[in-house]
Order: sequence, then structure tokens, then C-alpha cells
Amino acid sequence: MLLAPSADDVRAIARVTGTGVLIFATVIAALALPALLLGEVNAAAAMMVGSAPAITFGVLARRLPVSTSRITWTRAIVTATTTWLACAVVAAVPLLLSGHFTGLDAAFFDAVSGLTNTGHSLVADLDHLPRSMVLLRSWMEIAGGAAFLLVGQSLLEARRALASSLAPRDATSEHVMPRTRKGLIRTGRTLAALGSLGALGVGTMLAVSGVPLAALPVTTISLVAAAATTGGFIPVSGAVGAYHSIGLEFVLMTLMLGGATSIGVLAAAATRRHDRIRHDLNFQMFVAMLVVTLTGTMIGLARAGTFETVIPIARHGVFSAVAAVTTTGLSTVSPAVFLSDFGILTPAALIIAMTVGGMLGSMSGGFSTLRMGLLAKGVLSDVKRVLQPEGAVPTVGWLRLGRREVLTDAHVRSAATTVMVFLISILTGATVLLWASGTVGLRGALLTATSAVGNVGLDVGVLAAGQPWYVTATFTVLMLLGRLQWLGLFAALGFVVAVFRGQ
Amino acid sequence: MASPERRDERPAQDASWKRPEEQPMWQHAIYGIGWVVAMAVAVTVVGLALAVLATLVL
Repeated sequence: MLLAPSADDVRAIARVTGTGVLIFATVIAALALPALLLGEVNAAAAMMVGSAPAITFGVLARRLPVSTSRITWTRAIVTATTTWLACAVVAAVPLLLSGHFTGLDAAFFDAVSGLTNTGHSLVADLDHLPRSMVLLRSWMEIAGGAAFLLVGQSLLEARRALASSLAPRDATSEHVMPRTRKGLIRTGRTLAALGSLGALGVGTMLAVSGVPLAALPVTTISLVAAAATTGGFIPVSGAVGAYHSIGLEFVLMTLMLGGATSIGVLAAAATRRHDRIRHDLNFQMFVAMLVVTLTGTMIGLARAGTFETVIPIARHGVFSAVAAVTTTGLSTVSPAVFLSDFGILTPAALIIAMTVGGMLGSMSGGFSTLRMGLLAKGVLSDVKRVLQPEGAVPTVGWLRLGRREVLTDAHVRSAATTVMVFLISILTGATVLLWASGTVGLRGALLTATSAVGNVGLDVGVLAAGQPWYVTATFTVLMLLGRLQWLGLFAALGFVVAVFRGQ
Repeated sequence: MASPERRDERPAQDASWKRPEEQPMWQHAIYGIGWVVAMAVAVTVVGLALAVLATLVL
């Protein structure tokens, strides 16, 4: 039986969504100031036009009376989805008004891409996009990354039911955010640490590589946000290889790895609890994925004969592998080269890495290394069951930051469901691309679809301004599906259905 | 599951270890950033070794 949400539920969701929108839009309004300082009057006006209604909505929504302030699972999941969608609508307005998008669908696509830390873009003439709009793109990545870290800590990891996508086995629990304040502090510290490291490292490397002083602040912010949040929006068309700086590439790689590391592992590293990290299943699988992807990429590049000497193979191979595993989507070469010159094995290794993604509880996309680890443990459990005497129940354990958990069927089922939905989504995206264009090959379609569902944003030239509307719509949904995960999106849809058909 | 006592246990052979709340904020940042940088260095070294190996073998 579908229960219709109460008026209090709707008000509570609107209130929390309003708070999120208010914070997001206030920063956009504040971006009007740098826009004016940079002499970009039209961009400043666009920021104000986009943010004013949102701020009004936020202020009004926060005044809504809510009889019970407890945050239930339904409220939390639906609020996460509505906040992401509402913020995307808010950001789409100034983007559209910049005149660099063919329509609202393209601007909304870019807003969703930024807020889901994907990095795909339908912007036209990126090199002449106002610098304040570049800052807006960075803000979308930072807001999306921070929100995902918060959601990760409150929903995904609540009550150690982290094996589930959104922990359905805990759905009977009413209170889901017992650690909001702690989560906020940890999120703030993580972003501040990565931001400081990035500002210093990236700024220095850019200055050394000859970027003009006037362009330095915006370029630095843009690259740091792109790498540390695993967002992947860069301020110029092409690739980060355009800066011709190995030092810059190393710093960006460091930031990408930081962005794809779970907040719990980062906290353990900050307090030197390395034994916890070493035995953490999430971390172990992340390392395994890095090694597998590096191996596949190096063998692939050596076999394809793309480069003649070791150094370019290592330079481009390591960066590509890290960008794929961390789902950042940055590249040192023009992404189209992945299809034309990197052979077969390298793109295949990258596709697998992008599907899995980084650690659960980090800013990266993919179905997460922890879920892959749980599936592997599930296989181990089944093998043990076959080998043990009949009737014996095998116990398979796994460690999460020093805490021992026992593998249950619910863990494996939940991980398998998430992986299945990911794979079906990738195939759906690839099919739509193949349907829409006769020139896109299977590799290109798979790479692009994986890149969207895994929130990677490695654009090999398949998605572009002026594409059919249904491609834009499909990939917008796929990016949301990747970030909010199947339960988040479907629960929100179910909520809407329940409003009309529930009892 | 680890008990609260286990959580604050001093690691063996590390006299300088402090409980998280005793550790200054700048130390948190340095250790955290240092760990991430160390991971990037390790990835680069492994990648370079694999590139050398792949070039020699193939």
C-alpha cells in the first residue's frame, strides 16, 4: 500500500530544500561582485536574475511551519533529490543568460553536470565564457561535492548500514541524521585542506608555467575545484595538457586522489591511524582498482604504440588512470585521442575504472570500491559455503576503519542491485547515443555513457551543443541517477506518485 | 566491533601519538595532506615501473 505523504512531510521537505537553495543562491548572488570587478556587467546581472527568485523561495520556505522536525528516511531521501534538482534550476538561469548555451535544456544539463560532479558540458565557445561564469561552474562543483559528502555521511553511512545503497535495511529507523554537525565539520575540514593544498600547488605550478597574473586566480580556483571535487570542469577547451606542466599534473593528481578518498579514511590519516586504513575494505579495493587500471592502461598504451618512449607513456597513462578511477574526467590529451590513438585495451581499462569509481563516502562517482569489495566477499562466501560441510553457515567478515562487520546477504544483494542498475543505465545511455548518431562507434558510446553514469565527464566529443533533445534529457537523468543512486531518484519519483495515488 | 577504549589506544612504538582531540588542527591538516601526497607519489612510482615493464616486454 502506498502511503500518501502528509502535508507536514511536504512542508518539511520544502523547508530543507529551501535552506539548501538559499545557501546555494546566496553564493551565486555574491558572485555578482567579482563579475562587476572583472567588468562583466551582463554576467553580474545574470547572477542576480538567477539568484533573486531562489533567495526569495528559500526565505519563504524556511518560514513554513513544520510540526515535527525529525528527519525520516523518506524526508531525507526526497529532500536530497529535490535540493539537487532545485539548485540545478537556479544555476541554469545565469548559465542560459550568458548566451553560451543553445537552450534551457543545455544550460540545465551543465548545471546538473556541475552539481553531480560529472564534468560533461554543452557550453559553446568555452574559451570566451565570462570568468565569473567559470567561477559559477566551480561553485556548482564545490556545492555538489560538499552536499555529496554530507549525504554520504548521513544517509549512505548511517548506522554502519553503509553496504546498502541508501541503507534500505535501516528504513524502519526514523532518525537518520544523528551526526549532521560532525558531518558538517568534517566536510568543511576536508574541503579546506584540499583547497589549501590545491591553491598553493596549482597556483605555483600555473605561475611557473607562464599563466598571466590576471588570469591566475580564476584559473587556479577552476582547476582546484575540478580536481578536488572530482568535478572535471576546466576553464579552457581541450585538456590540462595544454599547460605543459608535469608539476601541475602531479598536483591535480594528488587532489583527485584526495577527492576520491572517503572522508573517514582522510580523518584516520589525519590522526595517523594507518592500521585502520590498511585493513579497510573500501581502501583496499581502491588500491586494487588503481593497480589494475594502471596495468591495463600501460599495457594498452605500449601495445598501441601511441608513444615511443617510457616517459610519455607513464605521464599520460598515470594521469588518465587516476582521472578515471577517481571519476574526475580530466585528461592530459584531447579526450578524442582516447578513441583514435589509445588502442582498445586502454579505453577498456578506463571504462571499467569509471564504472567502479572511487571510495564510498568520497566525492567521486561510480558504484564505489566498497560495493565491489562486498561483491567479491559475496563470491568468497558462496565458495566457502560449497566447500564446508552441509548445513554449516560460513562467516565472512570485513573491516571498515577498524570496525569488524559480518557480511550478510543484505550487503551483497544491495551492492549487486546498485551494480545492476549502473550497468543497465550505461547500456541505456549507449543505446540512445547509437540511435541518435550513425557516426558514433560502440566504444565511443560506451565510454560516454559510462562517463555520465559514473559522474566522470570524460568527453570524447560525442556529446555536443545542438544534439537531439532526447540525448540531452537522457544524459541529464543518467548523471542524476549516478549521483543520487537508484534509490534516491526512484524514491523521489515514488514520493510524487504517492502524492497523487497514495491512501 | 572496536570498543571506545580500543579507539583511543596508543599505537605500539609511537610515543608521540596523541588522541585526536589533543592533536592541534595544523597537525591534522599536515598529516592528512601528507598522506594524500604520499599516495600520489606511490601511484606515480608504480605507474612508472609498470610503464617501463610494459615497454620492455611488449
